Amino acid sequence: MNSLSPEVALSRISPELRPLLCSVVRNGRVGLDSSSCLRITDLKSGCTSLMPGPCCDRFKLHIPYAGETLKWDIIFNAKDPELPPDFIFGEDADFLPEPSELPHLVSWDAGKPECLLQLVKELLQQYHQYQCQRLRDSSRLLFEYGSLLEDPNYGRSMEIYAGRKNSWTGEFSARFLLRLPVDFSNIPVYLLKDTALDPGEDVALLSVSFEDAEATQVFPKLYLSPSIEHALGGSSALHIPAFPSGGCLIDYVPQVCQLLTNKVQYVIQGYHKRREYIAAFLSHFGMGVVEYDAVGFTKLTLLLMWKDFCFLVHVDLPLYFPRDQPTLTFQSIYHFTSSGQLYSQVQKSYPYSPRWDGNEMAKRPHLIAGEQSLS
Amino acid sequence: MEEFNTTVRISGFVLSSLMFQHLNTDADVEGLILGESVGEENCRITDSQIDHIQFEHTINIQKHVPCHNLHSFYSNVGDVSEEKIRQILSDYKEENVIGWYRQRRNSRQQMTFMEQVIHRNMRKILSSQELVFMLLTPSQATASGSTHRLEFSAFTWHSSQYINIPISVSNLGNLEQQDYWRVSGTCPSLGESQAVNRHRTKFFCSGDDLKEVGNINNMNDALLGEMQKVCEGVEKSERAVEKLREDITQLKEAIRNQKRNSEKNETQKRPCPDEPNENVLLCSALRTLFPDAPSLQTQTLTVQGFPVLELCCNTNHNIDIPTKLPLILENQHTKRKDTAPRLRKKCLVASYPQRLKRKRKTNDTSELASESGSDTEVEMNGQSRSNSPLF
Repeated sequence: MNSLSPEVALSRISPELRPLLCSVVRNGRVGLDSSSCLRITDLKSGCTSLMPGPCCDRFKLHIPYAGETLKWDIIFNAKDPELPPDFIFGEDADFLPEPSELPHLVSWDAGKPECLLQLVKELLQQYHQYQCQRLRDSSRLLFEYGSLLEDPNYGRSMEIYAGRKNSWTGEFSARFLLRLPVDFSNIPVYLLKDTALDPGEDVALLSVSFEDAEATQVFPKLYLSPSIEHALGGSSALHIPAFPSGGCLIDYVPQVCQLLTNKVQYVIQGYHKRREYIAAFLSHFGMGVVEYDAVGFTKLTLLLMWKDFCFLVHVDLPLYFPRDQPTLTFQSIYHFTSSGQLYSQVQKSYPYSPRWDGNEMAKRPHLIAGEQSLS
Repeated sequence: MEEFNTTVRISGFVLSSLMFQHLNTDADVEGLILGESVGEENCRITDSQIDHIQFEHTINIQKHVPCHNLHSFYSNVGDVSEEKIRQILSDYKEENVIGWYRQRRNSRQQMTFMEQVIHRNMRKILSSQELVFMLLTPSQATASGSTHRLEFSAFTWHSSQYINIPISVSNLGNLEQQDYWRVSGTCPSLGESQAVNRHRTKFFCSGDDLKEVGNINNMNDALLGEMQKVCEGVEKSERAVEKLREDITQLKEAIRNQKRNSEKNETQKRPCPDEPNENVLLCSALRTLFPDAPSLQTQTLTVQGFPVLELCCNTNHNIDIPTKLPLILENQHTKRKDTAPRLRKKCLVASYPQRLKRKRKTNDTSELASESGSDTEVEMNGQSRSNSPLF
């Protein structure tokens, strides 16, 4: 499938239709997975081959939905650009929305660039209804859907994709994609800024795949936006529990939500605790501070003196501080190793308690520093 | 047991006229289909089944009425207007409408969202329950655009869904005898039709040949004639090029020969580089001036300044001295004039130092020179002139 960049697609489309498509390819984020843009492929023309370009007026639109990608054909007519488009809904041949419930189709205005995008969103809403109705093939899954729908935290942010029922085996599969109502706004900004791409909105999505109608094979998966994943320590930092046998979504989803919320709180508290720790060190060792991380409060370097012997102390604070103990690295300013590096010694096992406050933590390294300098 | 079977039939010329009319339009086109729908009930009794009933439903497409624009008889949401359908039909009866068609270039053979809605609404309005939707989808079969493909099929609503029914084209393919029985009886035989005879002249020439074929043949002949002229022109130019190439080759050969000859002449004229060039004028002059002094005739001296007699030129160069070296003869003549008969006179008046000088000189040159009584010749006129020639 030849996916076209937005600029290439726009250059090939008929000029009268270009504003409509521009809105779709540049601002086209629909559904829960707003990090993925709408994509356009298979640009074709309804004109004869003798018509000089650009005159493409029909294409395939790729829409992310419930972990799947819907491929809808959208058909315009370059000779009649004011007419509304027509649609072929891919493999879902029996999906027939009610046209009167599509306001942007009823009052189609080709002069409004966002008209097509709005129409697609309205169609997607009807598609969601269509998929929910298909869950009637399985009472178990219909119950799952109904129970989630009643909860205002999840009912409004849910996408469902129901597979085809196998008429021979009776097997039926479905996927639930839920947006978890976790507040990421208090995560320190510095943790969110260093991602390669613009991740868009911070979001956590939980995908639960039911491979059979009786929910005996259930596979959950958590999707985080890149900045959130980075802030929480990477993909390996967060493991969600397996779906309990005989359990149901209305119990499982809040559990995952709470786990994620706790993790976020930990990261936020860790940031504040680190800041407190650094502040305490600055007040105790003010003159001896060489440098410290003033953004993330993850590092601190001190120049200390013990009986005319000067040495450096590097303090590294982990992400999950104070649960995880800081690492102290003592470095001589006089002695070199055989490889030409300053001699240093890492100290991880020293008296420490995560329940100490910043001042207490700042006092303790005094003693440790003396012992290390002697050694 | 009941069995339902639906067939859609269309005659070759109806299908071809439909395709021909719309194939070159630069947009999707749609229109209404007229024809008739015939149902047959066949009861088959076998040993195993006594009531095997087969319903054969045949939809015959007899005519198409194109719409001038899209959305001619329905709104944006697919609401069909019966009034507009009547306007499109004009003289045709609404009862004969058995469906509608659309040609949609470069798209799938699948009903779209709006087509399904329109068809559903048409079924509600028109009396015929077995409405058919005919879909034609032209597309390019090859990337170069040299071959195009036109797929067509019919869709009808059956058992709460749209099913795809292939269209049978009469007079195409291997139709069995009994298939002709099912062709609509309203299609008259072409050979006996008065209407065909009346319109015949629009299509056929006097010799019963299709006019269009004649036109194509004429164009073909004109193209061939044009190509022939072009070929003749190409042949002439090719021959001219060949002739020019031959001329060029000959000229090149001539130039090569000329060069070779001139090189030969030059080598012959050029003297042997080992032999030094002789100044023949100088040689002749010296021979003329000093006929009896071979040492003065040589042009070659050693490093110390002594003449090399072995290299003296003995060749008479046949130089015309009066013409080439007139001054030498003048000089010789002058010398003879100036030179009076010499008197050998003993130089008694020469002073002692003079005598000594002369003696020294003569001692240097000759052993026989004596101190007294030198025969130094003194010119009587008192001038001491040298005998060297003047140049």
